[in-house]
Amino acid sequence: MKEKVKSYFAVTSPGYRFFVLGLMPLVFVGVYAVFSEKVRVLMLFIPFAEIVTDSFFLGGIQEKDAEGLDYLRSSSRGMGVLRGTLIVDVIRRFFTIALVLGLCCVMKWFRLGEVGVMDDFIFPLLLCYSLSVFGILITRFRMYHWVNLVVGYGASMISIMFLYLVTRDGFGVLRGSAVFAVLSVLFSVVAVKLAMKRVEGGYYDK
Amino acid sequence: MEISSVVKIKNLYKKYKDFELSVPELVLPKGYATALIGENGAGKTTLLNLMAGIRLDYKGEISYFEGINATEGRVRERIGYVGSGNYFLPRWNAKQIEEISEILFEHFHRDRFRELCEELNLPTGFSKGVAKLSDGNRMKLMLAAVLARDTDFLILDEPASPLDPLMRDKLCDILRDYLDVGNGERSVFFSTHNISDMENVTDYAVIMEHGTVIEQGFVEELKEKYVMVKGEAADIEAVKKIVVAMNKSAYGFEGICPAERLDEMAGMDISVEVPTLSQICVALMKANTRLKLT
Repeated sequence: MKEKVKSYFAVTSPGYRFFVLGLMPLVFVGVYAVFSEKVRVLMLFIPFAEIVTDSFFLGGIQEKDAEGLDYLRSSSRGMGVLRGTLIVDVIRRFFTIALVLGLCCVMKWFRLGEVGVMDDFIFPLLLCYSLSVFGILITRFRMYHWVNLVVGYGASMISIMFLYLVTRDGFGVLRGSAVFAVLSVLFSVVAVKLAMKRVEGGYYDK
Repeated sequence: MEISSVVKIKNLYKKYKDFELSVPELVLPKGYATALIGENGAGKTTLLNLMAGIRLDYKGEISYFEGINATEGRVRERIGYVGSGNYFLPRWNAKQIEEISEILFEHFHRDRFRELCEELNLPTGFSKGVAKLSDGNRMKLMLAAVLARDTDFLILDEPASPLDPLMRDKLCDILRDYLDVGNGERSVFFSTHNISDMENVTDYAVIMEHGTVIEQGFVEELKEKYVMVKGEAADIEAVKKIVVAMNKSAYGFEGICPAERLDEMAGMDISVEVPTLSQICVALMKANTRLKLT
């Protein structure tokens, strides 16, 4: 795992890391602290931000003839480094969202004296995470910032829609969490495998 | 003189929608700099990509260093490849390239990389992203990354094209130093359109047209095989059938002719000179091109 983290840090730019590991979580926690009492409000912003920032990281990596991969391809370790980076990336997304929601839940507990673990933490975490990863599955096929913006908006809307369905239609947060837990695992695996398949396909004109 | 090879290619075949690369046999000599020359679309980049292991969808055999197969991972550690624009991730800067190179290659030397960056006068040091660099500086960065490794064979795709004349001269020095330090064990294979600028570092030349090799040999041998002939306008029609290609004017002609056919010009008022590599290459390309030349 140490090697994978090292790969992630080498492949990602300091600016990107500063944004996704520092500024973005800080802004989300700040927004919650100042403007909101409902942790769920963040579900509107988190998938959007995660998807939009990805265009500054591996945007277009699944494109045919994706830019900038020849140096990695020229090394026998290149594909391993990329796989490690992609794995750490999905793990980073999960833990960043968990950290943001966790801190907001702590604040809520201090503020109101109560917090719902499923309602305020588990379900939003799994929903935001699975939508974020599903979003990048789509956007990585094209290196256009506007595609990430559109998919980001879409993910935010879908996030709110699912929240409504789960809470209003009696589907239940527990069952919703179970569904999104499965989807989270599925999308994570597909995100890594699909990107690798497309990049490795570059060796074979696929 | 027995010369060992750095690369042996046999029956190499790669097909695209509207292009075919077909190289029945190609052997590059070890310890020398080989130039790959050909017009746009001749298949130079395709050949270099196949040789560098960037593309693996081909038929045929490529072996390195007297028998190591192209698919063996260890061969990549010994090959330094510099490609065209699509090389580094666009947001990487020199600092990241340094870090990633240490992970990607076993024998990458950070200090040497920094020295090379300084030597090549890369601007703003380690902060500027690759996408924001000029083509020339991007090429310098690629060269620095590759030369900072311990390699035995460099494959360079048009390294001179984006460089200024001074830097081209420097590139020749760098490649010559690389070969000298290798003491006969290191080789360089580069494609170029700047034949004149790179001639003083070219030992062996491979000329390609339409996806296949049309001529190859040591530069000195090629200069013996072909001669430059200059003569009167009155002889143009007679000479046409003998020369490979010619330039003509109202006053006369000059063309490249196989030395073995020089006897056929007996009786004509011609002068014979040793051609440059550039003149030989242009003549062979002219003779084989699909361009409509006037």
